[in-house]
Amino acid sequence: MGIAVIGGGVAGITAALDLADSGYKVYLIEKNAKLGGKVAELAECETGIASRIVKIENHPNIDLMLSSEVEGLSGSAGDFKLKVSGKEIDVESVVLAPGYDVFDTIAKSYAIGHPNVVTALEFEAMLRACTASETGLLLRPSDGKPVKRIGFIKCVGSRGKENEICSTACCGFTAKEAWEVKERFPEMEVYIFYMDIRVFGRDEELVAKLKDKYGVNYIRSRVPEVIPENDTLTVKFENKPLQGLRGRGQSPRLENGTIERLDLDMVVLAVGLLPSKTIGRLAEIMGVKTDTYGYLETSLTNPLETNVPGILACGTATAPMKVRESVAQASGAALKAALFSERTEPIPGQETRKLIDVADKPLKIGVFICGCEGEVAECINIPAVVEHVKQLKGVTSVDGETTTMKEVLEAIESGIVDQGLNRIVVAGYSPRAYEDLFRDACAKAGLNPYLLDMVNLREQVAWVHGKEEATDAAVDQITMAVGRARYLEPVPIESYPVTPRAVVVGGGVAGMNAALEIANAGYEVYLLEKEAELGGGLRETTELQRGEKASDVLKEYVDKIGSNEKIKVYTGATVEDVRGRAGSFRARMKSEKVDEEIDFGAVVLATGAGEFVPEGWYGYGQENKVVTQSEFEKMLAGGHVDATTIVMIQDGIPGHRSKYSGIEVVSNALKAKELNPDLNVFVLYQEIKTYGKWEVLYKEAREKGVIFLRYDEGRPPEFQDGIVSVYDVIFNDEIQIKPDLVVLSPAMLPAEENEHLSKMFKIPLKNGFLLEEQERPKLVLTPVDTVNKGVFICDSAVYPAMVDEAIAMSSAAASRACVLLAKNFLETPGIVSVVNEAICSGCGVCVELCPVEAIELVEEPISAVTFGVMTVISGKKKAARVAEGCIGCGSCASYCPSGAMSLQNFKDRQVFAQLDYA
Amino acid sequence: MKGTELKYDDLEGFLKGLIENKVIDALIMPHRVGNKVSYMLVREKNKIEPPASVIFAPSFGVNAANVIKGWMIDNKVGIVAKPCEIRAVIELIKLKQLNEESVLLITVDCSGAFKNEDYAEHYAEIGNLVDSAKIKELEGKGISIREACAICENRLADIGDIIIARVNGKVGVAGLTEMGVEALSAVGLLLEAKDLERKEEKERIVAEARKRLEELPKIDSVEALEEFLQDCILCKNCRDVCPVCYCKECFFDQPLGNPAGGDLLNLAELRGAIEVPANQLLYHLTRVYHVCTTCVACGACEDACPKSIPLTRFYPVLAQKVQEIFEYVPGRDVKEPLPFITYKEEELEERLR
Repeated sequence: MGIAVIGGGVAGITAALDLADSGYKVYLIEKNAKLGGKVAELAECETGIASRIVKIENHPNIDLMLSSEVEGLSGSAGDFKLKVSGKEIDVESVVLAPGYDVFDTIAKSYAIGHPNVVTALEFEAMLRACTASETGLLLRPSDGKPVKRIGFIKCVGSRGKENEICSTACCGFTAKEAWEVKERFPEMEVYIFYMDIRVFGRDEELVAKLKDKYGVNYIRSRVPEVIPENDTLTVKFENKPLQGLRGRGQSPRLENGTIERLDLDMVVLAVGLLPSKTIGRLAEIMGVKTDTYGYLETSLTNPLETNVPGILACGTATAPMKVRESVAQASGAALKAALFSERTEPIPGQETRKLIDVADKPLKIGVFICGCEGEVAECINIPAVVEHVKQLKGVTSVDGETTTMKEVLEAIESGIVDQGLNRIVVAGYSPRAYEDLFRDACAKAGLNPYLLDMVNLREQVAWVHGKEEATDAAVDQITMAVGRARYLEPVPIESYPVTPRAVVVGGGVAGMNAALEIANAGYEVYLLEKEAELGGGLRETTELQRGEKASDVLKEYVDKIGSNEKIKVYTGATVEDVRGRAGSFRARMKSEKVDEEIDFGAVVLATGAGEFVPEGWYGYGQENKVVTQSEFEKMLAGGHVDATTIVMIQDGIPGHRSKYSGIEVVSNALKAKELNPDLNVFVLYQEIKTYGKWEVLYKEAREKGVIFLRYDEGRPPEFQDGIVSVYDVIFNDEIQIKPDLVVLSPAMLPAEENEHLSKMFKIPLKNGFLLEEQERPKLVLTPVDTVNKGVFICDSAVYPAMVDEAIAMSSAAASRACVLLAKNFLETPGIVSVVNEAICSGCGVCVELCPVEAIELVEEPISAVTFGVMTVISGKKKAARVAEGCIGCGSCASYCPSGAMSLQNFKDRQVFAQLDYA
Repeated sequence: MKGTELKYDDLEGFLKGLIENKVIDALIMPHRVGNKVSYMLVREKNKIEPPASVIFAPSFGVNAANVIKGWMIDNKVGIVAKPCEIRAVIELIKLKQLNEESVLLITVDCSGAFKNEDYAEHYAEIGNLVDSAKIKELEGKGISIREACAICENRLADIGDIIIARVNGKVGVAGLTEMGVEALSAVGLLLEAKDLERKEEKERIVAEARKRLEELPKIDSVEALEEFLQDCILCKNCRDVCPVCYCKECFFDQPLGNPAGGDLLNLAELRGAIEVPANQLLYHLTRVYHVCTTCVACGACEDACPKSIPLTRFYPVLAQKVQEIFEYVPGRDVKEPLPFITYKEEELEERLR
């Protein structure tokens, strides 16, 4: 049987690959004729989605069903019959990932229809087009003149009448688009009109950078209309006090509280997300529930499960969210779906391969030039290139006939097997995205995968050169690659067994969930908690934001863990002295009871975050009428609040705020109002970040009489002699309140042990949080993966998140770990540094440069020879040695002045040969 | 800093005392052979010559750091040398090319030096000691200090473990590090708080040096550089005398950097014709890249060039520009990390934009 994944967007693709890569049969069902969904429309050519699509198209375990629609479902979990476009397939479980639709009933007042007004997705297409255009400039669609001033309007079609919830993703993608604009066109003036900036973590850093470094003008004002006049678009906005424009040149003059006009060349509408129109019918067929807004219904503590067992939900079909959260959910849902199924397929890359010995064979270089479905063929005269390349020394065959990835892969395999080619040059696709696929093709055919070189004809030739130069450039680049190929040597590859056991560090909700997920998937888990008991943050909480009792949630997890034989819990535990690599780690574990060496194949870091104790802030610690939100939550849970006027100060204390901070404020304010409707509740804030469906809570709070007063960053509220004074920017006046209770929202601190873990597991740390593999502003498609394969991160280890996100992310981390643990063996990385100790001077700079501490200096005693008499004089000489864990970054090799340190596959000889033909 | 004032003649007793009291096992210091000045390694204290007449002599032959390079043994050696030489020693310590615990660095004031052969030739006019007025006077007669010395901003002793400064007809001796202070105490000197900072004098030297740097002919294009290096015969002397070149086997002594036979023919086939000896420009560009952060601008490369290419206009001038970017002064402080290993995400952003 198998598992059906419905929806071929980024979430569906992620779920399908996680499952197929661990040996499950997958049916990927997409209603359109191609995969990729909205992410495929984004401007960045290297989102990483394209290579995933190719992988899916060539995956032996995936049955790809394009232009297909689900028509019916019968049976139950473990035995579903799914009708898809007339066909019937048997599956054990289903992952729903139908995605979202763009809000499309944009008010006429935004001048939609004017060529210079575009939606965010249309703007992505424009950015992509200008990358490939000859000038590279961003041109005004109406008259083709370069854009000098661009405005982004946020919250179009969200947080309003037509769609009351917040679309969550827009703040982040607008920042990314503004960043891209400023990176490419530094002179362009950028204006962003917003209501709140709801970004978190790395996006928060990006926004700060945009404001301070890139000179992007963030203007807090809801722009009601865009007035077109010929090619110019005028926006009117309300100017608020203390809000300086930071742009260069002719920034408009601003006065307090006045209506200003600004002329723009282009307007980008950050249009909201709506649940996909297909969801209604899909839900009906599947018998799954939808919520008030039309999303698939899930819950705070079961964010990936629908009401029907065996049917999982993920991505923007459950709530508006960013790509990062969407793919995390997809990975998590995949693992949950797998529980109903059984592995029936072989895992790619796990076959035993025998590689041909090329040592004494004469050089036989095969060059494969691919038309890349017209993208290359249109710009480059391939037959002319073929003629030229044929003449090169060592080249025995040139193939210029292929047009698709599949064709090239097949041609390479037959070239190696039938013609005995022993060096391969592929010209066409980007090596960054596809190198792995081509290496794999070589290995399948029995050629050492490092006897391959690639030329990127698409991005680096076809896209950037005019027609005439492109053909010449293609010849040059291929000649260079052939030059290098002549000197390529087989890189030794060894395989080692995978230890089918995981370690989870952190026994909070995320860690407990990750441990359970991995154990349910059939692997042994060591769950390490530094405190004496499991629970983490849940122990500090009474009630979750939707009213769930934290103790119930905790008890359920603890019981499940206690009864699961596969999980061993160690409390008071730490991990030390980590060695090895993905699939085969070894470390020393110390806990209350044991001190022993442990072997494991993967690790999930699920450390929590701690609340900053705001000692001294607003009199906290000195006056007992000043408390934190979490302390206030306990009072509320106790059912009694002894106060008539409450002031909540949000954002008043610097530091990282968790994603739940804004929600906690609003939810506590509402709970207080419920306890006593006559209570005066004031919330002093800069941003209220009630993203997604939580927006409704914010609205409810305002309706129930909670008073929100916004202050400016430069003028924080003060609390003196029992009086809170705040300068409210909407009333434009100072307001004084005499509260009985002041509630603070302290910043969250990253777990102290992150630093230790970062060093131990060789993954970078930023502001105390662990860093994912891909970092914003790039698109994050692997939110729980790190640069050290085999080490996965989730929840507050990355950034303090809401409980649903924590659970989804930890399921994702578990899923990624299980993909790895499903393998029987892994191969040692080929591209690593090697030392020629004979010429190493022992300066040790490489040791300092190495980001993963994989180089060590070894000392040797010195002997001195004088007049033929050898005497030993005490002293030490040094030489470098590459230890385990090298990630092949090449930092050491690029420094080493004598070349004692070099990188396999990028030896000086090879690089020089390539340069010689440049 | 803690130190004391000595007469010039007292220096002999002080240096002998270092060996006598087993502060050090040996001493590298300048010595005189007729009119010439070179270095010697002294193991026996009685072999120490009267230092006053030699340690300040304005003569530059070899950079003493090059002599001590590779001192990885535990036996302790003292070294009496000019600031540029001690700076190079400090860079070598950072590069682990000598054992930090085994060297006692004694820096002497320098007033600028003549090439050692010029010094020997004009010894009668130059003498054992010069000052800036005297240098000017000699310049009038056509006897000039080395170009590297003319643009040197760091002539006053202010680094190392111990400094020997020339002040008002006497010498000020002070310890800058714990090791230095202990050494001074061990030879029985009574130390007191001593200010040998000489801020104004330093400023005057820097201003003069910058003026002279401005006056140097510039190499402002690749073409100009090719012309500048035209006479290079790739003898690699500049590398061999460079105190901060530290490779056990230079890339340009390896087949790839020093192509011969078939490799050479391959290159010629590729390009139709090549200059031989090959890699002239690559050699100097690579070398300047390798030493640009640690170059102490001593000018030894220029002195060693048999074709008299004024290499000071290339190596130190270019290195100084790189060092400015990283706000790095080689040899300023042994604790200051090399710019290569202090990666900051945004350090170059302003300059790359």
